[in-house]
Amino acid sequence: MAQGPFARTLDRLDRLQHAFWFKVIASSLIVLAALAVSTTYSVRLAAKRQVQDTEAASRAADLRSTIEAEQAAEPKPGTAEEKQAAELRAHALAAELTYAQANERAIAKLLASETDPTVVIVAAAAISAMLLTVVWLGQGLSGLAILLIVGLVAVPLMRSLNPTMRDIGRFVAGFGCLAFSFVVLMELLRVLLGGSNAVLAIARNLVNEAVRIKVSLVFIVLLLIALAALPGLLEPSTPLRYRVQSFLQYGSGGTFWIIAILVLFLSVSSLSSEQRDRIIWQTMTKPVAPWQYVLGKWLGVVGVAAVLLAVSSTGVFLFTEYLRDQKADGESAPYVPSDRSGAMSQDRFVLESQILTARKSVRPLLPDIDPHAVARVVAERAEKLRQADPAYDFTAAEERKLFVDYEKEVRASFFAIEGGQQETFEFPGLLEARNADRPITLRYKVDVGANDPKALHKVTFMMPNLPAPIVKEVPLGQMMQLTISPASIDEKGVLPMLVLNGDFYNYRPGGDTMSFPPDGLEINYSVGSYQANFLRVVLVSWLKLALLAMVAILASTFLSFPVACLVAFGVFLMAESAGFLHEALEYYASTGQKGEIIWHRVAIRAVAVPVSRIFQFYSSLKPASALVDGRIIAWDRVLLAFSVIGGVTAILFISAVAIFRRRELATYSGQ
Amino acid sequence: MRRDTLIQLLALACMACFLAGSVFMTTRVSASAGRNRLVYADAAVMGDSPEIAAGIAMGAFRGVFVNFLWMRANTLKEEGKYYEAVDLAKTITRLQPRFPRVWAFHAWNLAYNISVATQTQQERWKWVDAGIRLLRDQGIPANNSDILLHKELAWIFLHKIDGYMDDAHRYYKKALAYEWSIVLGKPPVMPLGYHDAAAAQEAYVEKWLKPIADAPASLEELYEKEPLARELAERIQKEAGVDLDFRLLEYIDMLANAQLRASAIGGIPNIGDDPLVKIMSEEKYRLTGRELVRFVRRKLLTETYKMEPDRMIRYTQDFGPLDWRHAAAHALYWSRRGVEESLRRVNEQNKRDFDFVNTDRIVVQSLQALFRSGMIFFDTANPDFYMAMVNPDFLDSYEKYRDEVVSRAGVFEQPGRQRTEYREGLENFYRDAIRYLYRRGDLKRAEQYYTKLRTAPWLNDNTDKRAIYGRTLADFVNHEITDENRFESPPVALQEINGAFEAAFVEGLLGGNTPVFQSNMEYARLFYDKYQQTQKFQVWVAGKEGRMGFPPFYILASNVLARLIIAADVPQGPAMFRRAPDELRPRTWVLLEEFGYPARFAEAEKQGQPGFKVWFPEPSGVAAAREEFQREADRVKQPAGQTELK
Repeated sequence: MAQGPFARTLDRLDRLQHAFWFKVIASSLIVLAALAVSTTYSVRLAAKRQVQDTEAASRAADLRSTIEAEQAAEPKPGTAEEKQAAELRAHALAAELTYAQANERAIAKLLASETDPTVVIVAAAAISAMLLTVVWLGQGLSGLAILLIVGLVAVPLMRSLNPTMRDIGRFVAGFGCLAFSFVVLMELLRVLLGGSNAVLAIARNLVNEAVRIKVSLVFIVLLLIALAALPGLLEPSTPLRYRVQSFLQYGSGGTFWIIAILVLFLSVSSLSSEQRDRIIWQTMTKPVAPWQYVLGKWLGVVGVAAVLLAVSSTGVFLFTEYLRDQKADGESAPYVPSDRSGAMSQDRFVLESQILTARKSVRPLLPDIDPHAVARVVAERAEKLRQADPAYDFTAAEERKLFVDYEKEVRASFFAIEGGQQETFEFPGLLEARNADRPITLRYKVDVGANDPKALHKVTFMMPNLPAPIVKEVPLGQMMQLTISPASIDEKGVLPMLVLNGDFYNYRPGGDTMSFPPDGLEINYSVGSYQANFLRVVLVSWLKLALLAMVAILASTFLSFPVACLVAFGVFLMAESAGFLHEALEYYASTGQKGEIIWHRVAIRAVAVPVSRIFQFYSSLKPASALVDGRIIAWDRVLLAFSVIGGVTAILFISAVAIFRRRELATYSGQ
Repeated sequence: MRRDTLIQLLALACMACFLAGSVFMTTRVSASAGRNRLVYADAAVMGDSPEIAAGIAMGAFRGVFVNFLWMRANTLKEEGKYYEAVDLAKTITRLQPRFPRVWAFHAWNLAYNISVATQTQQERWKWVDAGIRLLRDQGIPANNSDILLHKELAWIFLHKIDGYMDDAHRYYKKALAYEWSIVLGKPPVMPLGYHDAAAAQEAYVEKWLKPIADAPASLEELYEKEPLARELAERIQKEAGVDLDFRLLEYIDMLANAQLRASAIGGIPNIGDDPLVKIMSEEKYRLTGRELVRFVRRKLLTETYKMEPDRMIRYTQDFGPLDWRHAAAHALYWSRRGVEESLRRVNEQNKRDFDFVNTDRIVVQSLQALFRSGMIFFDTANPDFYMAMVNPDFLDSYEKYRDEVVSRAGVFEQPGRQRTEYREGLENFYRDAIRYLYRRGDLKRAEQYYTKLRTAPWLNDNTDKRAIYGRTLADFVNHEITDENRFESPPVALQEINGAFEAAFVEGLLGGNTPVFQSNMEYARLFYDKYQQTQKFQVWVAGKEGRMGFPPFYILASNVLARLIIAADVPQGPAMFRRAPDELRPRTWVLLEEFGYPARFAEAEKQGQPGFKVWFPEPSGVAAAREEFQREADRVKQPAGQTELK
């Protein structure tokens, strides 16, 4: 049949985009463009950094001259009393200088993130890699056409005067880019799984199935829509740090849940529908071993999950970087504080030092417990119990319990401070933080009595080199944060911190006793970059998805679609809520106040306790939460996760294969 | 029996058991929900947001979803993670808009918990304001007659903003005063030296609130009333780029301040090129412009702040000249509104409700607060200066309202009770009022209140108090002053003297009230002399003469005045300086120079603006004042360890 001119043009263009010379020229252009963008940006940033350095140097000089002027203005001491006072004053001024200089250095380091070209280079490299993939897949012109169409729709909308239309324009642009990236990466995945091996063939089939069957397609579209719409839901009036945290939370946590549900559905649907519709006959009657079939399915699912995770994570990462460059609270322009006397607004400071970073935490040194004293107390308590109840049996387990109770009491009393009294806590191992010259954060939670939600309590913190005590008014039972200068850490890397229960400036003896709960006092300090942490977070998320995929596959090897779904989702929900369950069980005793047994609680605990223990490790991996809080997920933790989750996945895989082998899959079982 | 039949019977038995259990549990759950006022909106009404309909459409899953959100909100709060607080509060309140405790919880969380976790005062205020807005702009409109929400909102105003517990309370007070100076405009200027509550009430109603209450309620009404208004509104939006909202009022205020500053020194304001000034100064818009501004104020007040101008007028008439820049005025408005709305459905059961009694108490406490600090000295031209002084106009309304609430308080205020809140409050209030009126020189009213205090029925069997209140008025005030060891500690004594000075300078000089100035100065002198005498006696006993003594009276006074002038800055500072008596002016002038205040005008002077000596002309007697300061400095240097005055 004769082709029309339009079809002929399309045909010609298709041949063109598959031509080798076209690919070479297009690739060269892409690489050149990426280099040009990266270089130009780096040069601009270098110039900016120079200005920043000059400003920082000028601030440091101002600081020194101010304090030196103060020192010079000190009257000449005459009497011994005056000499002593002058010495004290000189010491205080020196401390003030040390502290201020350390703060200045810490701020300079934080500001360096603004002029760090790594992000732009990485982004340029990622986009170039994506475009090169498109070109080498022979879709260069098609891709360009799609991007042009998205641009033609989105750009006029984004330039509209109507704010709603502008939001729609942004959404179209975001959705277009995400969908484009997804299509390209799926194509790449198909190419990677392109071998003639049975495992790869099954995986490839599953990848095709993922975009064919409605159930997974719905979730893929939902994911892309949610991600594209998320930036528009952020409240512009909230401080920048909260916007970034919200975006990271919903962007990474929310997408993980959507992908996890998709993974479960896709795995269960693929396996059970093949069995139900007897499509599996065609596979299993070929020389394909059950392990190859199971592995192929799993590989396909985790491949799709990896593509979706890559698309969503790249989107989240790039938009977070975009957000970072927005105006924070207290800024007249991005990175420019409204109050020119300071180098950084508070909002920006918290964002850079506590959120877009990777922090490690240190808890205070606990008091040494004398083993002899413990033994004596335990013996005394056992004796008292025996006197109260002659049938009391002092077993080894009972001794251990008494020991643990006593240890808890000692620690609780160590963290308790009576009204008007003070206590010193020492945080060891902070040499790295001291040398890094980055601000450190104290996280603390104060408990008083039953923690009246409407009460506020005054607490004073004192540290070496601190110009003046810091008095904080804190709500009870809530984690609070306080930024500390690294100048307070001594040469051995220890930070001694004195806590006064009360207001230093309005001191009154007495008052309520306050205490820090066991997890209520820690120092956080930056040990790495947020970007590297982000990568590790994505890796851990993928590992969790890989495990879930195998759980779903195992369930579908012997259960029908609805039952397998129930089991897989049940496991997923149990695993995700195990942390909460673990905490809740602490308050859910199976005995009443008088020691009577509450039977229905016994039954509930019999199920809940094993569940919380089995999934303890899984639930302790909270990648999204770590990212939002700026906490590090170190490589050793990633490796541990890889070993544990990999091991469990391997066991599940073996079980799935064993079940599959026992089943007579290729036997006609219809009516 | 066949196996299938057995299974079916078993299933039937299970179903019957579960149904019975469900009936039992549902009854208990419903009863508990009713007791705890756990109410879901089960029908959308006109004006509800679409989310409410969406929530209803979620059916039974809404409960599960809301529970999940609550748990998350609570966990995040405990972990000190506030980034989702506003979003969660919004979502939960949209799903449970008719459940007052939800609004109360989230508003409290924003205003109290999150605010103190932030580092800057501006950000703190943002969160406190967010808590207020959540209740006032959304919670109360969704639960119009719920007393709990009115009480919570009033408490945030009274405790968080007007109170002194929060470190940033001064900032909150200024921010609120600024906001309401913009919304309602500056309050009417009372004639210098006024002391007539009725005149103030009338001026506040007629010149401040009524024009707003009588303004058109909608744009259509405005366009109908003022044919040029449409054209004016469009020009303002297009040419000046300002919408008809808070920003327009703020813009107008800023221009007015610039004009005021310039006119105060006889110069020509350099704002003629401003597009808004150009438009508004066109003669044809003179009346229309005024009407448009009133319309915007009314629109803001009713639509954004959800307040009723007529109610504000009524409360001003009932209670006294309420200055809406004061947090206690808002506390009074919302607590009184809550009481009034609830009174319509009061019955024997809810009469004993703590929320009811507590809200009534907030009305009383607001009146007390307005008495203690209801006279505000604040101007948007210099928003850093904020002073709040005693306002005697609320003395009578406190008593009047207190009687009303006692009659409503039922068991909480029964005469037989040993201690009741209102009784103790009234006694303290009488003592404050007597001291204040005495200091102000209003002996007649002081005597009236003293009579009320000493004849109070609850004193019948309290012999200790009867002995104290049996003295003459002068002795009683003297006892009040000398009691509580006030003379033993210089900071406490200084605080009392400084308080009198501040009242004299702000209320007397700035407020133009000569009798108040004089009586406060006399009181300060009385206290000063008494302290010096006591100190002399003590140091004589201790053998260290002059150790704790204060500097001469006028040096002390000029020190306070100079600091106040610097804080008040232009234009209030020069006003105080000009009105100061001859004993104070030269000393204050010397101190202003000593404090380096002229440098503040150096830059302005270079640009041709008035300098220090224009605002503060050098008075006669400066040389003598300098010598006096020198003598005092020499005297202080001699013995070691003298008290340094800060």
